[in-house]
Amino acid sequence: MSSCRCIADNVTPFEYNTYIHKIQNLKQKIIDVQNLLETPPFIILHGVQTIKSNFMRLDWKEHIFYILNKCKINPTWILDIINETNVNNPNQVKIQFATPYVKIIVSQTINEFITKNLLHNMHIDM
Amino acid sequence: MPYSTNCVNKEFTQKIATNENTNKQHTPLDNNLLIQHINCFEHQICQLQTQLDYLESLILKPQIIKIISFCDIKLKYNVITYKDQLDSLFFEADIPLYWIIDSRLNKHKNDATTKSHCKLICEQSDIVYVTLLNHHVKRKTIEMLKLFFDTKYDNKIYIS
Repeated sequence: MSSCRCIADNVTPFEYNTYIHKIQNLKQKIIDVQNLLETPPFIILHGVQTIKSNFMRLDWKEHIFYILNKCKINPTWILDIINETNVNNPNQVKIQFATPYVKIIVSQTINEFITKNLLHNMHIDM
Repeated sequence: MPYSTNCVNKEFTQKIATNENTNKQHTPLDNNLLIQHINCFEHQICQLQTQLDYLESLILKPQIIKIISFCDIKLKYNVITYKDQLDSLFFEADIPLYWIIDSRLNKHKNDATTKSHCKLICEQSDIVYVTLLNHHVKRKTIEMLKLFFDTKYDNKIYIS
């Protein structure tokens, strides 16, 4: 009992609030990690079909693979490619990756490709 | 998962804040209540930390899937080892082989003392454990394998 009193005597309101903040931080971290588990890391590529290729009859998926091939990106890093084109956002494609690290590498490479080839109509959303 | 926040007593927090402003000493009743709250906080922090560690391990560590009745899979190519069969299966299901880190066959031995119906189950239940890159790769692989098995094997092969 005496040791308990010691703890209680030593606890200040500041420490009490620290406990509350720590719990809130942990809960937020859990929510963030749960969100990470729900959806794989992805980027959204806009203006895919504005790119001029040597093969004029490419569909949207072939366009993506054409770009990935040009950027020398390993296709096995990619989990899925989803066409998210709608009325407001034409030529919008979501690319899902196996790991967050791969996402960073691929987005850097594609950004370099866009800059190098002056593809002003194309851009990436993270 | 819902979290218990009952122990965070707002009134008590306000009371402490008031005490701080008026420089009052805690009464024994306050102390007991404070001890209860601190214990409750530490218990909650411990629980949350455990849950966070588990979730982080799901993201960071390789994940294992289990393919049951693996020997029932009949593929286009004649293969000798289970590893070749696994490679062929992934090839036919359009799943990149680079996603596999490791694989292990758990073949049940036929025991003479086992009852006949158990023998039958044992013979059929060759299990392969496949270690994959991470959680997202595991989910995608399961999705693709299920699609492949549903169309070709009519749910004879199970994945978990």
